[in-house]
Amino acid sequence: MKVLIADEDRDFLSSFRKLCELDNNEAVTVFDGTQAVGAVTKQKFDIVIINRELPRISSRDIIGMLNERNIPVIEISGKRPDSDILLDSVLANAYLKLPFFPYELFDLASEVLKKTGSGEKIIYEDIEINASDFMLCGKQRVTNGEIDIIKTLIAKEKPCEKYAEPYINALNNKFEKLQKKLRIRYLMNEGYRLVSDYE
Amino acid sequence: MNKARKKFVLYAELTVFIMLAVLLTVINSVNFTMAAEDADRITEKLEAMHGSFDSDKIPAEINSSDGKDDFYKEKPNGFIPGENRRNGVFGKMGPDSPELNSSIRYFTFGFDKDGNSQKVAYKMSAYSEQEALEWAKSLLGQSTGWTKTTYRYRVYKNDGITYVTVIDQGRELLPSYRILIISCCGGLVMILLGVVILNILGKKLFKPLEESDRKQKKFISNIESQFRLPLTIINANTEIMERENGPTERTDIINNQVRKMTSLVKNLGSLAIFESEDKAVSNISLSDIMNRVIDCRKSEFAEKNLQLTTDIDNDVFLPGNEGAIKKAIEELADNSLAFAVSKAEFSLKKINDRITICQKNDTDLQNGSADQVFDRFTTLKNAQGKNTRGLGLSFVKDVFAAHNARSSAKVSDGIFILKIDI
Repeated sequence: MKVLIADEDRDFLSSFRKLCELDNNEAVTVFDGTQAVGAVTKQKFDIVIINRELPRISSRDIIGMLNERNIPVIEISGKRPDSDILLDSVLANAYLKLPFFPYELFDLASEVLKKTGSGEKIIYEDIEINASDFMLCGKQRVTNGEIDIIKTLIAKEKPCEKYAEPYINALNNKFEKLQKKLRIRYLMNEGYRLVSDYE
Repeated sequence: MNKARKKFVLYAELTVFIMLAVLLTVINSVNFTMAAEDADRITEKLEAMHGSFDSDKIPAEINSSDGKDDFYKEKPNGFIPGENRRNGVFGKMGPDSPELNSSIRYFTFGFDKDGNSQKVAYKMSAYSEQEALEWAKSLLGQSTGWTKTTYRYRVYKNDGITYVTVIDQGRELLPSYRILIISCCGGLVMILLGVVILNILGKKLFKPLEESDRKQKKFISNIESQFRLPLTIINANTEIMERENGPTERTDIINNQVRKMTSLVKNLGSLAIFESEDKAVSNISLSDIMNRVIDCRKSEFAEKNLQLTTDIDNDVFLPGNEGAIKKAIEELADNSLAFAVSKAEFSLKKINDRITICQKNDTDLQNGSADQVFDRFTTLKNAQGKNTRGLGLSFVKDVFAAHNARSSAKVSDGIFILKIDI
C-alpha cells in the first residue's frame, strides 16, 4: 500500500512514515499543500492522510482534487467533524480527531480501503449508498462514519451516540436535501432508528 | 465575566437601594412622627383650655404645674407657651408660636352623657358647622390620631363632658409631604443614576478581569490544541519502540501517562468550548439526554460487570444548552464507569418544580462529604491508578452551575452519591 501523509510537523511525518514502513507499506511524506499537490499529480497513492491545517494550499482544495481522482483520503485535525464539514461538497472519506493512537489511524485507513474496493451497495427503502465511491444515491458524498451509522441502523443495532451525533445530523440533512422520506430519529426506550419521515 | 459584571451592578444597586430606602424611611418617619407630636401638643393645649383658645379660663391644674403658670397669667387669652426646649435656635415655632391661637383652624364639640352636643369652638372653613358636628360624633369613643389625612383629633373628658377637638394640620404637614415626595423622586433618580454610573464603572473595573479571563480561556484553548499533535507523536513513537524492541515497563508507563494526558486534553477542550462559546439555550429534554447517554454506555457497564439501574422520569425539560448538558451527563456516566465497584445507579426526578439528577455507585471511600471531587485537577484516594484527570466533574459542576443548579457529593454507607439540584 502506498500512502501519502501531508502534515507540516516533521516529527509527525517521520513517526508515521516509520510506522508505515514497519507495516511494509510505502509512505511518502509532504509538509505543505504545494508538495502535496505535486505528489498527487506525479504519483499514484492508495490512500492519503492529510492534516486540515496544511500550509500554502488548503486541505479542502487538495481533498477536492483527490475526490476527482477517486483517491480515498482521511483528514486529521484537532476538531471533531461538525455539520459544516460533513455537509460540504468536498468531503474526505473519513475524519480522525487528534490525539489518536497509531492503530486508530491504521484501522480507519484499512476500513476506508476495504470499503473502496468492496463494491458494496447499501440499499434501504428509497436510499442507496455506494460504499466504493462513498456516494449517497449517486448525488451526495458521504463519509465512512455515515456509512457505518446506516449499516448499524439497518442491522437494528444501536450506534454509540458519543461518536455518532454529527454523522446522524449530516445524514438527516442529506436525506432532506435529496427529498428522501427516510430519517434517523431517536425513539424513547428504543434509541436511534431509521424511520420514514411521514410516519 | 459579563455575568459577573451584571451581578456586581445588581448587588451594588441593591445595596444603594436598601441604604436609600432605610435612610428615606427613617427621615420621613421621624418627620411625620414629629408632625404628629406637634399636633398632639396643640390638642393637649386645647384640652387644657377646655377646647378653645378663646376661653378665658385658665385651668387650675396648669396654674399649679411645672412653671408654665407665669406665662399663662401674663397672656391668659388663649396663648399657651411651648416648653422651654422649643426656645432654642428655632425660637418659638409650630405649636409654640405666639401666632398659634389666631392661625389655628379647629373645632371643639362637647357631648354630655345623653349625647347632647354643645359647640365649644368652631374656626374652620373647609367644613360647615353641621358637618363638623357629625365628624366629631364619628370620633367619639376614640382617643387621638389622624382623621381625613391632615386633621388631628383628640377626645377627652372634663367635668363629665366628652370633648372632641379636631385641628387642621394641612399647612403644617405640607412640607412633610413635600419632603416625602422629593425624597422618593430623588431616591429614584439616584438609583437610576447609580445604574448608569455602576455600569460605566463596572465596565472599567471588570476590563482587566475580562482581559485576564479571555487570556485564560485562550491559554486553555491553545494548550488543548497544541498538545494534541505532540501526544499523537508520542503515541506513534512509543509504538515504534514497542515494535522494534518489544513492550517494556518504560513503554507501558509512557502509554499510561499519554492516556491520562489525552484524556486531560479532551477535557480541557470541552471546558474551553463551554467557557468560550455563546451558549444557545433551548428547552431541552433532560430525560431524553440521560436515556440516550446511558443507553450508549450500557455495553461498557456490562463489560465491566457493573450492575446498572436507572430511574428516569419522563418528560423532564430544562431551558439550557443541549451540548453542554449532554457532555456533563456523559462525564457523570464516565465517572460512574471509572469508579463503581459493582453497581451504578442513575436517576432523574422532578418533584414540583425541583429537578434532581442523582448518580450513585458503590465505593471504598470513607463516609463524609466528597465535594472536593468538583475541584479542578483533584482526584480522590480511590482515583489513584485510574485513568482520571480531575476535570470531568469540575466541568459537570460548571455546566450545571450555569443552569442555576447546585452540585453536591458525599459518601454514605459505602455509596458515593452525586446530586445535582436544579
